[in-house]
Amino acid sequence: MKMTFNRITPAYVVIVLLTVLLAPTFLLTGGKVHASPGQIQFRSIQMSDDTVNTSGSTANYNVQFNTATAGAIGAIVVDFCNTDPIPGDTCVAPVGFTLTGASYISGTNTSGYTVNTANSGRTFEISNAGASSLPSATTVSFAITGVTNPTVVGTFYARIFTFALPGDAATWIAAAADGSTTTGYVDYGGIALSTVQTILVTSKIQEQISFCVYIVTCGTQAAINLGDSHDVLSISAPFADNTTTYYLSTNASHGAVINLKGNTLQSGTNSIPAAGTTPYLYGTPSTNINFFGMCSYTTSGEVLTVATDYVGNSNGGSCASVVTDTGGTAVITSLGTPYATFGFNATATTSTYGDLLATMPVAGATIGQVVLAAGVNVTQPSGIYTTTLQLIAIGTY
Amino acid sequence: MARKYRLTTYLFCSVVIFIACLANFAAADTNTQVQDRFDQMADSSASTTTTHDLGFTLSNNTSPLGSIEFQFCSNDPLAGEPCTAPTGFSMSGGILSSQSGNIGFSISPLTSANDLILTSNSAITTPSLSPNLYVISNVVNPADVGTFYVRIYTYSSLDASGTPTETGGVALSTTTGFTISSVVPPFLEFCVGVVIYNSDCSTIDTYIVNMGDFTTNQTSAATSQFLAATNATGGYSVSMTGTTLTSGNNVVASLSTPSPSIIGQDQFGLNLRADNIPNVGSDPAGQIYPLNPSPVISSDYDNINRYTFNDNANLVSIPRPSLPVTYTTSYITNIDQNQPVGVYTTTITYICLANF
Repeated sequence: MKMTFNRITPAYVVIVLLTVLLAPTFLLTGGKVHASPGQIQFRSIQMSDDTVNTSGSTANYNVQFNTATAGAIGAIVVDFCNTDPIPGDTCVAPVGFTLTGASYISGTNTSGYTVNTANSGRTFEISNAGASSLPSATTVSFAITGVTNPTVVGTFYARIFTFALPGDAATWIAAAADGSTTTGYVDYGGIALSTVQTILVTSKIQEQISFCVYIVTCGTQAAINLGDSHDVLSISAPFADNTTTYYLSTNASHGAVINLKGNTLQSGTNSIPAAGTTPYLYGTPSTNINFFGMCSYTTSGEVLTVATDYVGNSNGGSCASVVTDTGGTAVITSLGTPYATFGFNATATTSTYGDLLATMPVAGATIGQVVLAAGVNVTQPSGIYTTTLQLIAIGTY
Repeated sequence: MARKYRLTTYLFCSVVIFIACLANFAAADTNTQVQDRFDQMADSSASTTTTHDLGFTLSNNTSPLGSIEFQFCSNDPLAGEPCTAPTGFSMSGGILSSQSGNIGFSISPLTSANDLILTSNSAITTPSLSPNLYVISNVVNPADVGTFYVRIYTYSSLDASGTPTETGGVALSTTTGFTISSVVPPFLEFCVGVVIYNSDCSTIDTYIVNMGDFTTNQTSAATSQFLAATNATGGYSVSMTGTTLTSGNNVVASLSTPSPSIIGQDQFGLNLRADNIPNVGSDPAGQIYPLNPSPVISSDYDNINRYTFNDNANLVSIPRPSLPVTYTTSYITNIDQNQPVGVYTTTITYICLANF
């Protein structure tokens, strides 16, 4: 017997096929029609700390995505798995990972939600029965606080689900403890995360000190000709020199001191009297001043504490005001107005370790100035007077 | 079964040894630092032989203290790193001059040029946490100017062997001194005027002495001053040249020997003292009292109320350098009734000679 309905078969088949094809798309459940889940976009989880958990410390996870489907989000579930981010696959918590004690901080469009954790600290849920409806492609964000990272290095995953109603989320969670349920949610999306090892950086900072005394540049020995253009001292006023600089840089934790060592100006057995421990005050008129002395001050950097003998302000003047005499006649105004004073404790400066000139109380760098001055009275024996002074820096570490 | 047991034993021992090595390494690498550590040099000049004061304070006293090592390096102060000895530096002749804090140490024969080892006869079981100071003299500084370092190690052992209990570094620096040169020239300060105030020659404003009108019943008296000072080792002397008062061919007779002033006689003379007949003049004065050195006035002019005048006469001398001394010359003139009328003048020149 030969079949003769060939001409009508295609229309019937098409209808049947369309019915079959569309069947999974529209499901009748309790009278409601649910659209198929959409994939949330621009999804991310930012970890405040991605190191392997070895100390029990916790991290914050900032969850953010754009909705795929319009409507109210009654609940959001984030399920953390160690194998993959695919909904429907069995989810096992990453080793050591737990949400026990976790909470949330609301973000964009997530205020008013309450927190729940499930599945032995693997699943995080926030829910809000009164959540407002949101258009599609709306940004949603919140932070999960108090997350204990996995104890192994490597990738793990989060599956994010949105639900129209809190009850839908509860149903989803209750349906399968392994997270494999694929029904009930509105949108979904997977995220891969990773823990890493910290980078251990080890450095050594060694004790340092750099110190030099100079006129022009560090490394060139300072040689000062104190006097007029022929180095001649005067009986009318002191000659002054403000050209000697010292630079000290150290990381000594207890700071550093600078000691002054050496003698006053000498010529054979003759010497110009040291200014002493009471900074020299000049008479009026400023004649017959017979002394050699110095004062010091900070020009930049850490402020030095200059010893009393050398601070130069006994007359109300300032050591920094002293101007170098460059030949010609010595005038007391070179020492500033009121004039600076000078000291030179020869007893101490000629002792084993010299006399304290200045202290830098903390580590740092400083540039200081040594100001020298000398005047003579008419009885000072003639001759060429010289001395070599030494500044010694001692750091205490 | 026995073989398996042996393998297990070997493995266990290997693990134990490995762990022990790790522990030892960790101890060497992370031991605590000595505190308040420093090296104070008595002289920071390069190549000089000087004293180093080496100080530090232990951080804890849980380990015995048997020896101390001070290692001087030019490269860095880091404990355990290779050490390059500073060029020219030598501790070989070092002498332990004094010690405080944890004491009882002596320089070990193990000491080398840049590695000072202090050892004791027995380790201090519970060392003091007070500051330690070890003064080492006869140390030769590095030949180069700049920074060099000391590494400090403390040991429980007596010979600086084993793992240091504490370590620490110090940086220090050799420096160049700065030289100062000045010249003090030969000084001779000398000036003459009617009045000199405050030992200051610049206060002189006239050189003319006016003795007024001579009369037969009153002595004319006047003064002038001169100031002298010098740094000449032999001091100075002052003399004068001149004539008595003259008016053309007429003269007032000078007193050739020290004589009193007598009204009505023909007299011209002077001295350098404070007189009261007449009341004129002052003794030498200076910035300090009494004068030191004290001027020596020539005997002819050193008599109160006695006057004389002779050309080329020495007036005063000082044998040593002297601060300014102001001398007052007292002039007196008397005339008799036969003295011709006229304007009588003279120029007296004072000459100061310094003896350098």
